[in-house]
Amino acid sequence: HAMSVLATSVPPTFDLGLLLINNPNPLDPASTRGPELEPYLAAVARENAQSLLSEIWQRLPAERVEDAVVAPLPPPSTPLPREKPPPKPKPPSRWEEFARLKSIRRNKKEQAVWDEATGEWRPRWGYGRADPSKEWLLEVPASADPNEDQFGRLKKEKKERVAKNELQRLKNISRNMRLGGTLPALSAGGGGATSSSKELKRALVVAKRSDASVGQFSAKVGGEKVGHLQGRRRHFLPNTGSLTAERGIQEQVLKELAARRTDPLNTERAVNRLQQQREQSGDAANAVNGRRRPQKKKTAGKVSTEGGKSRRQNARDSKSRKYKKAAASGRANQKMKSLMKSKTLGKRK
Amino acid sequence: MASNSVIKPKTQAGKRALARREEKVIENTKSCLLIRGGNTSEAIGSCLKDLYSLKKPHALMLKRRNPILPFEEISFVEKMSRKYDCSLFAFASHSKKRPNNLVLGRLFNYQLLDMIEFGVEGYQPLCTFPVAKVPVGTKPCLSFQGEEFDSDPTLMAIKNLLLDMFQGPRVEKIRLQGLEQLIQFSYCDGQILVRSYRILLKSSGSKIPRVELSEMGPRFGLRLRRHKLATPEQSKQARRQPKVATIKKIKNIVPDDGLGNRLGRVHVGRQELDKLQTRKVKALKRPREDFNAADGKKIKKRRLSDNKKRKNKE
Repeated sequence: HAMSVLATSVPPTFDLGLLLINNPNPLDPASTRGPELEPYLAAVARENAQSLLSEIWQRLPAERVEDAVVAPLPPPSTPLPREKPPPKPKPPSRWEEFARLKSIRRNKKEQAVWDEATGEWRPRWGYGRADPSKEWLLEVPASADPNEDQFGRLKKEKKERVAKNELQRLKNISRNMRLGGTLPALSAGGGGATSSSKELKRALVVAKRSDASVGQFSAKVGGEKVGHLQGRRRHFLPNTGSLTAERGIQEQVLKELAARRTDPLNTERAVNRLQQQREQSGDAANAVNGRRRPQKKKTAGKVSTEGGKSRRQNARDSKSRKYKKAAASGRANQKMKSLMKSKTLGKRK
Repeated sequence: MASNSVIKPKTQAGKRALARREEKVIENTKSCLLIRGGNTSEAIGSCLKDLYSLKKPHALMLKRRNPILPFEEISFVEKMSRKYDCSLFAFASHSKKRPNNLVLGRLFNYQLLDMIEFGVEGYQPLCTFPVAKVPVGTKPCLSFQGEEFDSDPTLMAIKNLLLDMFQGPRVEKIRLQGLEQLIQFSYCDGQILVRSYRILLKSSGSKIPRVELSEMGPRFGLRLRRHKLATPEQSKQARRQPKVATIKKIKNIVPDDGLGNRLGRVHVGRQELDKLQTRKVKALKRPREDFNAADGKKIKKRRLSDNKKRKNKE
């Protein structure tokens, strides 16, 4: 029954570089329940393994290396991410440049050097080498001061050479960094992710425009090119300038305020008047009910009989309360709207 | 390069360690860092140990418990990855809310690339299977069963991660008798069933051997919980391959015409034969004013020794 998984449906694909078989057929749901699961999976696995090994045996040419039969693996076709970014090419050092120009080539040195003093072949470096600093006898050259310490002179010269070499090495590293290389690894575990100048510039731009004034008042960093401020929200007209423009804006404000007063039916007034009439003409109970009480939203539509009032009266009262509330909220809304629409000297974008 | 660092390594071992960690064209096998969380159950702890066995020698198990939450703060894992030079990690923990929790993830340049949290179900340890285990460092055969591994984006990412985790060392050639392990991942009812088998090659009638499997362990199912996948830019950057120096075919040159001769055609360009310089003649170097136009005689070049001769004459 496991054979039906592979035989009927989509054939499997392979990635021999990873010894991978992709079988896109679904598992038989009936076989995956209960105690049949493990034998079924084993059978499916066996089929897959057989297909994969057949593919390997057929596709890859077998070679014989000593006493083993070996097949070369192709590079994997499935893209897998790397561990680290690929290495950046190192710019040549000053000596390398010079050598290239003068076409000086490296001569491979032999390990053994003829040592005149002992009359034998000595290794050039390492154990048993003819180390000039280990000389027990040094000739004083004719041109030198007889009281000069020759051994000390050699030591000093060596120190100077080493220091010079180290300085040039560091110069090369700093030159590489300047020319756009990466920060060299300081130690095995140290060093953080260094941003390129582009990334840093980008970060600066983003940080600057993340405040309310969109970076208008942030200090300018050395070497920073401040361009157009993106996302600027509020534009203010200058305080000095065209008087006619300012007058025009003020007139507009007044006009809009005046326009609001031209509403013929002042709902607020009408409701107040009605309420006053009710209070004057009605009885004590009415007066109680007529009080402007802040109503809960839930009981807005409900009619409650209090103090023996008729239901109809109550309905009218609740309606009037609703009406008043609406009027009050309408007033509040209008006030809000007017506040929001009011013109300041600056335009709102 | 070690010589490129400001601090030069003082020992050969240090130099080798730095050289191992630097960026290379062909990279080392990815190492896995195995971390135990604040609380682990017996099952998940044992599962982590089995994972360590599977991934040896490219794995490192941290001894101490580390009560961290990878999905909230990944900096610990990144720090450890930088310290131990590991690009893969497995974090095991156990809590009431997330029982038998296993987080598998990977890093690029010591920064988190993606990670997926699984709940481990139906776990049976390596030691419960009486079959002989494969030698350490075997490259396993991998098998993915299920259409979802090629269609569902999350499962495709999971497949990629599992491939990276279990592919073993990268080799150029493989010994055909050494194909000893098969790890099968099957998708079934929202779970990824992981089974590991030992391959036994039996002789069949043809050249291709007959495969027989025996379950080696460990055996578990992974139920997907949370995940944090890489953005397309991150994965694109991580997959960027270096330009490997290929032998460029030079046009116009035949490296070997069969007889060991290297042939090519030299394109000289247009030549004006009467203005060609064949060899340098010193006589032609002298300036033209030396020739007396009137009598056509050459003016003798004055030399210091001539003064002596003149003096002598005089």
